[in-house]
Formats: sequence, C-alpha cells, structure tokens
Amino acid sequence: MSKLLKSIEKKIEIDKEIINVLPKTGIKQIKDLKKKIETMLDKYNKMDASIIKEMNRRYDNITSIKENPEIAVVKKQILEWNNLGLSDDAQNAFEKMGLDKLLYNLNGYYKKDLGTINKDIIRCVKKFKEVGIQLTKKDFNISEYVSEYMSVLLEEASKGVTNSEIIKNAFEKVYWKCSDLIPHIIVNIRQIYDKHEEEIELFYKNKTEKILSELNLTKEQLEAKKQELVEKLDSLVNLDGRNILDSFFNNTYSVSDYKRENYDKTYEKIISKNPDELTKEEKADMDINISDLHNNLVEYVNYLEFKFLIDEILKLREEKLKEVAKEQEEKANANKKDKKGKKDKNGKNTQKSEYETLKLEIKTLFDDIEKINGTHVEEKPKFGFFKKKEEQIINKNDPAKILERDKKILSIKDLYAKIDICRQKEVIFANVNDTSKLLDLLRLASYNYGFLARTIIKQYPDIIENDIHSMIERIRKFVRLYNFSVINNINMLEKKDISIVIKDKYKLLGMALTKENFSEAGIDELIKDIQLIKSYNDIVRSNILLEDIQYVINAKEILKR
Amino acid sequence: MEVKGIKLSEIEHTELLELHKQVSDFIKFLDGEYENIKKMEAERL
Repeated sequence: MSKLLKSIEKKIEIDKEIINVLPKTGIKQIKDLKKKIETMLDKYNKMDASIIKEMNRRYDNITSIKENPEIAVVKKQILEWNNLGLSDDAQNAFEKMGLDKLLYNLNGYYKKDLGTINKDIIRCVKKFKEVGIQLTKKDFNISEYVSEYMSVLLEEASKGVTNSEIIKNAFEKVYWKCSDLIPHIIVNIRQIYDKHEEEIELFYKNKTEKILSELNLTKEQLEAKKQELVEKLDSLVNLDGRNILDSFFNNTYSVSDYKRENYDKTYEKIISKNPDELTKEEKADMDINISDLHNNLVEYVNYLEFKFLIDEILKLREEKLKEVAKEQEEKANANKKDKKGKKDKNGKNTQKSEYETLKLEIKTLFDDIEKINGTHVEEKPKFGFFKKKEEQIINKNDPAKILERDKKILSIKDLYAKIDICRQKEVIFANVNDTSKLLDLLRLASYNYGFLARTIIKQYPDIIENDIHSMIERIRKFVRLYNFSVINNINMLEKKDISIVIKDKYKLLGMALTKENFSEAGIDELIKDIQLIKSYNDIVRSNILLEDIQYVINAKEILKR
Repeated sequence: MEVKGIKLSEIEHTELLELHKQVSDFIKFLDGEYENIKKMEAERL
C-alpha cells in the first residue's frame, strides 16, 4: 500500500475512533458530535470531489484515443476493390448488380410492408441506372397492373418518396384487380435484365479493364494486393488502442481475464511450461505461433459453421456430373440408332441442356405475353426497318386473354426459380474441378444471394428472415475479408480432418495440443485461451496501456459514464 | 489537486481507485452516523 493510502487509512481510523469515543449522553454532547461529524463530512466530501475530478480527467484523457486513420483508408480501399468483383469471374452481372438480393427480398413480399417493397423496387431501378440503363415507366409493361402501379411509384420516387398516400392509394386500387402485382413486377424486372444482360456484362467487363489498366495490374496481382491489405488491416486493427478499448467497452474482452497471472497461467496451459522459462527470442517466436494458431482457429470455426454450403456445392456438382454423363450416354445411344442424330440445318447437334431449354421456355412465354399485350417486337431484320407495334396494351378488354397472360407471367416466375437452381449447377460445373480448394467452393457459394438463402433455410428450417440476412452478410464478409491460410490450401476432395492438420502443425512448434482441444467440448475453451494470449500480446504492443484500460473500465461504473 | 501533500495526478490508477473507495466508504459511514446522531438529537429535544 502506498504512503498516501496508508496515511488516509490512518486518518479515517482516527476519525472513526473520535466518533466512537466521544460521549453522546447529554444533548450538548450530541450537538458537539453532530457538529464534529458535519465537519468531517465536509472535509471528506471535498476530498472525494477532488478524487472524482481527477478520475474524470484521466477517464477523458484515456478514452479520447482515436482510431488510427490508416485503418479507414485501408478499409475503404479493400471495400472498393471488393465491390468491383474484379476477380470473381464466376459471378454474373445479375449478382454483381445485387439484383439477386433485391429480387430475393421482393419474392418474400408477403412478409414485408409496402414501404419496404417499394424501396426494393426503386433500388432495382437504381441498380440499372448504375450500369447505364435508365428505366422509365415504359419498361414496366408486362401487365396493365404493373404499368399503372409503376407509373405512380416512379413518379413519386422521382420526388424522393416511396411510401406516400398516392402510392398507397395506387397500390390499393391495383391490388384488388391483381393480387399478384408484386410477382408481376418481379417477372418484369427479370425480363428487363434478360433484355439487357449482354450490355450489362459488357459494362462490367469494360469497367474491370479500365480499372485494371489504371492500376496497371492483372486480376491476379490485384487479388494478391487485396490479400496484403486484408493482412495489413488485421494487424492495424489488432494493435489499435481505440479498437482494443472498444472491445472492452462492448464486453468482447473482460478486464478480469486480462491479468498478468491469468496470462501466465493460460500460456503455461498451452505450452506446458511457464513462459518465463522461454528466452526472449523463444517467447517472441511462440507469440507469433500463437497469433497464427488464433488465425487458423477462427478460420476453422467459421469453416465448420459454413461447411454445409460447401457440402451443398459438392452435392450439386455430383448431380450435374451425373446429368452430364446421362446426356452423353443418351447422345451416344441416339447416334448409334441414327448416325445422323438430331441435327440442325448446319449439322450441329440440337440436343439442349436443361438450362437452355428453360431459357427457351421463358423466352417463348415472354413472346406470347408481348403478343397478348400488343408490345411484341419482331426480331430486327438485317436490312431495312423494323416497326415496333404500339406499346399500349390492346387486349385489356379481353378477360380470357388477360387471364391467359397472367397465368403465363406466374409460370415464368416459377421457371425463373428453376433456372436459378439450374444456373447454379452450370456455374459449379464450369468452375469446380478436382483441383479446387475448399475456399473456392465457399467463394462460389457466396456469390448468389438466392442460393445462399435457400441453402441456409435447408440447413436451419426454423431460421427467421433477419438471421438469414445477417448470416449471408457474415459469410460474404468472411470469404472476402479473411486472411486465409488453411482452407485456401486444402483440396475439396481431401478427406483430411482439418483440426488434426492444425493440431499437428502447432504440436511440432511446441504447443501442448490434443485431439480433445479440438472436440466440440474443447474447441471453445482453446479459442478463448489462444485469444487471451494473442490479445494480451497485442495490447502490450499497442498504443494503449493495459493499466489504462483496466482503470477506464473500473472508473466507468463509478463515474456512471 | 493534493491530498495529504501528494498530488493526485501523480498517483497510480489503482491507488486513485482505492483512495476513492476508502474515502467514499467512510463518507457512507459518516452519513450513517450523522443520521443516527440526528435521531438521537430529535429524541432528546
């Protein structure tokens, strides 16, 4: 105990004794004692006010620490490069635009309010604008219901409103004529995308080329640069006083854990000897190993959580491989029966894949709808003019035709659901091969919002909408922003137990790890221990003192800050 | 600011927190004693 504390303690003891020994029988004695206590209270309250003032001064001083400005710069750079999706060849323009997410949200329209739906519809319109396609009410012509509603919504949205009384009235009016208004809008948006798909793909291609040329990098070089930045960001954040302090404020870390004796005890548990027995160099090496192990463990735990996505990709690939084998067998058999087979006038085999068949079915249905609507445009002739028929809907007075068309619109919606699954298989087939790594599969799984949502629901049937969304965000963040070193190196066909691969590596480096540490019952404790050592080391290397953190967390409660 | 001739700004965080604890605990004690003595005074008057 310091001199000051001892002195105050002694003074308090004396004052306590004075109160105890002073007589309190007569009224004068009582009044004297009362006066004495009042004097003491005044003295100690003044002292306490000084102490509180000093405590506040220190609290403000420590908590005024700012985040390293370099963190924001690096984050921004990574996000910019991520948003470009430059290295994601398997991601199509539909996904790059974010229409996969918006249309998934719109598909669940019955669970949402009108304001949210309108916002998502307008977001879709904006996404087209971002890729150079300015949509107007004329583009929303799949049915007179869509035309009527979208005219009002677009007009109101141009004034910055998406949930006005005018919109609500328009919805009310149209909805009772067609309760499938939102599915109609969804199909209309997909039709617009299909019409412009090549143009949008070209937009992204040109944009990618322009950026890469400006940066004077190849896609691979850019990906490597991004990875370097991810590592840099990780290090900057881990050693940043502001971020460390916030981890204590938001209870990610607890001051009771971050005590030297606790650190030494945990270290000893991991390496089977007291860290003081290590030389300075040995300790520095072991600290690096522990930091690496922490990174591997976080990666491993995330991998375990999202492994169901990899399993789904492998399952779909297996299905697709069987389908392809069957198709080839059928082709071979057809050729045996009739050497010519089914061929077109150019001699090419006309047998279509499921994806192509579905695409054709959708196109045929759209043609039928346009014919009913009177908006059908014949294919442009090579020479001469083609005339677009009047865009107004001409069959609006023929209920039978309208009914037929509305059925076709809903059929298209179902076909799109099928073609999305089919496309997922095509993408997997085209991008996954026997040399693919586990990360390649997870990355592939992360591209399409609809696929992610469907697979998550399959895995967790009772999951609620918000949790699906937050899980997708976490998956995408993990895939894009993690500093991988395990699953990016393990082949998808390897039947290795990743936990054993990790355990063996660090056992060789002198850590006392066992299989039990990686069991369901032991992994959380192992991560907690490794996290404690790593974070403790980071704090020691950071620009904030552990003593300051401990002070701030303790003082926070006292000062009610 | 000084307490017993020692500048508060110069003592360690743990000491400051402990000092606050000692003083505030004693203030609570004094408050209790003061209430008691007030009651005694009221009874006598």
